[in-house]
Amino acid sequence: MNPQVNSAASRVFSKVLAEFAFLFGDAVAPGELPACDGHGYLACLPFRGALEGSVAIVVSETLAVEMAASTLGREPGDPEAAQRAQDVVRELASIIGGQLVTALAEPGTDVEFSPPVLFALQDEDWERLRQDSQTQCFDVNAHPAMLRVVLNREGVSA
Amino acid sequence: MGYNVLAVDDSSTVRAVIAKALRVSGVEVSRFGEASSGDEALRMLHEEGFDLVFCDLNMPGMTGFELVEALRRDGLLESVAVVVVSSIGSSAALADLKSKGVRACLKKPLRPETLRRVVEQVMGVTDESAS
Repeated sequence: MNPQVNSAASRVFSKVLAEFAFLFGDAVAPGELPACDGHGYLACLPFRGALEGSVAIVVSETLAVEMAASTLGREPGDPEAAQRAQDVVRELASIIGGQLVTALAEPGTDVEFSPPVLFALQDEDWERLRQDSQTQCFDVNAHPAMLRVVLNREGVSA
Repeated sequence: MGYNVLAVDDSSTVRAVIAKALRVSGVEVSRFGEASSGDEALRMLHEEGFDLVFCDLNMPGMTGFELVEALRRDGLLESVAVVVVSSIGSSAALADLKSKGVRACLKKPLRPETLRRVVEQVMGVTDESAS
């Protein structure tokens, strides 16, 4: 990945995570990514226009529930946190992707976004993403998170 | 007497966060309506009275951009204060929305203190122009 994109993506991920879910993520090497306990979710925000590609975030189910609880001001054991976990992952991808692409696009150019889509991950998908060179890994309160930015057309200014 | 508020976002969590942010920031709300798409919002705005709308842009079906255009065409942007709440949109696109009658644009994630300030501005509680 373009180092400028990499750096901007990591910055936006940490900032949005703190502002949206009041959680803090530290970038780690793929080998230091905390283990995924249970299911994993991938939420992807596709975009096209002056910039084309996608921004995907990947989190464990436990982290998704923790993010939902924190966003809503509830305890992680609250049933509403579990109910909203997938919605929160999708929204987080939307906010991170939107802010990142807005930061990367040349001023005055148009980028069209599609609504984010969510996938439940199998173990082999999780491992493949962890080892992908376009993936950045994060430790969020001892839970795993990954960020994957794919640019098919770059008009990068940041 | 509080405001009749409509939150338009395909994320139920964002709608819940808007409701909570209004409550926490002390904005008086008489009725809080929710729509998960532009189409549903358009129907509710025609059938029910709302003073203030918080609207996402990137939604399945009718987008926020299309909803604003429909509201402008139907003459509703003069009587209903529409505030865009989104993480997408270039400065040119947001300026275009404002030129059509959108009162303010807020960036996600939403902060209660910002929400209150913008509500006061767009509802004429203070005389500052909207952000």
